[in-house]
Amino acid sequence: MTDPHLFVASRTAWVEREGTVYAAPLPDGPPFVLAGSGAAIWLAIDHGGTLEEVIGRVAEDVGSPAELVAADVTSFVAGLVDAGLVVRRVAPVVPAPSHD
Amino acid sequence: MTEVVDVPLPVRVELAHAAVQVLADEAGVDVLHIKGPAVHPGLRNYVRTGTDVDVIVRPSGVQALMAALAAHGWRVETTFEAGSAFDHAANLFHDSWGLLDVHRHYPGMDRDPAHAFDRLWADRGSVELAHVPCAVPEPLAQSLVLLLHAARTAHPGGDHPDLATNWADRTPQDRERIRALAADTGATVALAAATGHLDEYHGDPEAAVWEVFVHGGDRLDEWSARFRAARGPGAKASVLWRSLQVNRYYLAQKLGHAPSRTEVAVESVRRLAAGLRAVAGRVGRR
Repeated sequence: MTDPHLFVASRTAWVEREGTVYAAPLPDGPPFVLAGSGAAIWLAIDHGGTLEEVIGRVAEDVGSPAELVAADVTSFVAGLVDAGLVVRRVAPVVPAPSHD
Repeated sequence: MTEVVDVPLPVRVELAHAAVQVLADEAGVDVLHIKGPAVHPGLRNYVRTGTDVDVIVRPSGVQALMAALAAHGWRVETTFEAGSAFDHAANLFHDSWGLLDVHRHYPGMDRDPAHAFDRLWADRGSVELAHVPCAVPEPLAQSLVLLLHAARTAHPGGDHPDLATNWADRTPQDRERIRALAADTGATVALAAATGHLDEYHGDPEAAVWEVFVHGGDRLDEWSARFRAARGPGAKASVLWRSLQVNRYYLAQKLGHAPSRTEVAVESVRRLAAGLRAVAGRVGRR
């Protein structure tokens, strides 16, 4: 079983301005403000990947070992999922190219 | 993660465009996003912070869109009939998104709104607003929309800044294409008002309303122009009837509370008396 990937939900609107991310569930809102490391986590999710990959990206971004940021990132991601802004989904398996 | 109400206005407006698009999609209604962040880069050479969302809705979908908006917390602040001389837009407010103008037709393109929308829709483009694809008029059509808006927007101290980028600085070929689009959408007179050629249409009933905007005038001038511009006895009777009606929204704004029946009646009498005084004053000056 592959780990689920994190995706920005299809019914999420978001804007990044000067390092802050404003994200809102559609169509009713309200907007959430993700500043600092919250914005870094959001942008890492937008790049796609599993939670582990997102943790690695954030760790690199803030210059800390992955083990140190893992708990905070995991908790923050759970909050985003609860708010409906992010979804976990198993990424479709792309078949390897045939070499016949 | 912080949920706040203090989101910068330009960000809130962009998010609101996305919210309206999703509701329009759900309702199966076509909308075109205009003004603000929907404007093609380069068509505005000045910084202007939009304060609301503007969309033109396909006329056949107006009711469906308004119902979808109401079901999701949008409250009507001003009805279509109360908004302007053109009866063109309803103004709504949402706690999360702020202000929205729903245009059931665009001032200047109001002779055949369904055809005008079809024409704009046929050549539409798409822009991502808050990561949601939103339909927009193609750039030349956006120029026409901005020009028609400039025609009815007073700009102290000279020409409206949208005139330069969307008309004066355009190539002759572009201006010809804008004229052709204006002709196809019934906006020839309105475009003339925007570009300083309204005098060529003096005496044309359609020019009457635009003359009030270009040359200035009071409410009596505006109603008189609307009466002259109305096509057919039914439309003229409607203008006459509505000119005597009290706008409950504006009365509520003035009073600070929803008006009672008595307050509406008093305002009706005051309005009629003011109209008669204005007419008598003009007759007396002749």
